[in-house]
Amino acid sequence: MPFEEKLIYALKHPVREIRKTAIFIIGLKKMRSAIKELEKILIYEEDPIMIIEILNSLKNIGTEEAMEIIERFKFHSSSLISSYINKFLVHKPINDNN
Amino acid sequence: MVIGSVVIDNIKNLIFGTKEKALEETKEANLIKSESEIKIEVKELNFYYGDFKALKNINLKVPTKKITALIGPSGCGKTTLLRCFNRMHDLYPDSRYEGTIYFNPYGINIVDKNIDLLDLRRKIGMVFQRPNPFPKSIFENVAYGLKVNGIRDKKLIQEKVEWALRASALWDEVKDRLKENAYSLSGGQQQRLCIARAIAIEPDVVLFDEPTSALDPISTAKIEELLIQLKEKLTIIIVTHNMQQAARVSDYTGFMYLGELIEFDKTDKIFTVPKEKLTEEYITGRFG
Repeated sequence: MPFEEKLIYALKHPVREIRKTAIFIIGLKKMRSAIKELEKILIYEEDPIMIIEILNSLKNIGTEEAMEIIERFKFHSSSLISSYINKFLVHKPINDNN
Repeated sequence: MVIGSVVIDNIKNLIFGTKEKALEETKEANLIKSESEIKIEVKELNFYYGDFKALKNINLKVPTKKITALIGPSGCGKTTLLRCFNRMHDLYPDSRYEGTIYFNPYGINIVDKNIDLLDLRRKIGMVFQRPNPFPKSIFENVAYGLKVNGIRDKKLIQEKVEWALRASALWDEVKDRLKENAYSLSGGQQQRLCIARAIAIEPDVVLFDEPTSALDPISTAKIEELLIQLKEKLTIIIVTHNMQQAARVSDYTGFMYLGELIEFDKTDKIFTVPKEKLTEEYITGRFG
């Protein structure tokens, strides 16, 4: 199994730190193939630290699709998340395709 | 025409010959440069606790003024390896080293039985998992190493204490309470005090054994920031369970498993394109 696939599997790992590390590495690798998986997690994830980790990873991936997902969290009920997003949306990354 | 082509060939040879020679010289210079940038070089190191072989044939080059992280599951030998660098194992009976650990630029073999351990530990300091300040004032904690090393000039001691506290990002928080007991500080502040104590005597290397595992996230962030600042002055080797911490702060990472160094590379490579299957499996939580 390729490393990228293992990372996507690790997103469902029972240990929180492993999931968090996988999210972090997906961002480092700018893995576009993981965007949908990250989006799925955002539907049920309640832990603000994990949500921020995912948003950060999406920011690193930086595609239009990833940035659209981030935008949806701009007015999140958690002030921790919304203020974090508003901070980094000011410094939006330039999409490679544009 | 023939003369012309000979001339052209000669010119080509001259140009490419010179270019090749220049390339070789550059390669050689790079090699020499990189060798001079190695602070610690471990060669074929084995370490035993009694009959138990805890480290197996470790080969590793620790670069100067960089942060090197050692990661791996519990019991893989990362702390054992870290403790070899300042011979902490010598405090316990029945420990045995085989192989060499060269310490540059001093040209000494750290595991040589005849070396001066006090001098070694002056050059290679250590910060432990839990903050362990002495039951003394904040000032005395940092000044202790200086005094033990024979510095008597009070002004010099004051200057060095202030420098170490500033370098540890603690000065602003403690400058008005230097005479207070170190135990009055929070856990994160105590750990930064221990870092100040370690760097006050200006060592070449500081070993960090899971320095943030007992700290809250804010204190952890401060220590991580501090590590990045400190690498401008010294070489850092850090053992951590936290893979993200290794990815955030270190330049090089070594992955250990069952006493062996499985993979050692630049940190971004270890985490994004690991060469070894075992590294991949550890990072993605398949064991550990």
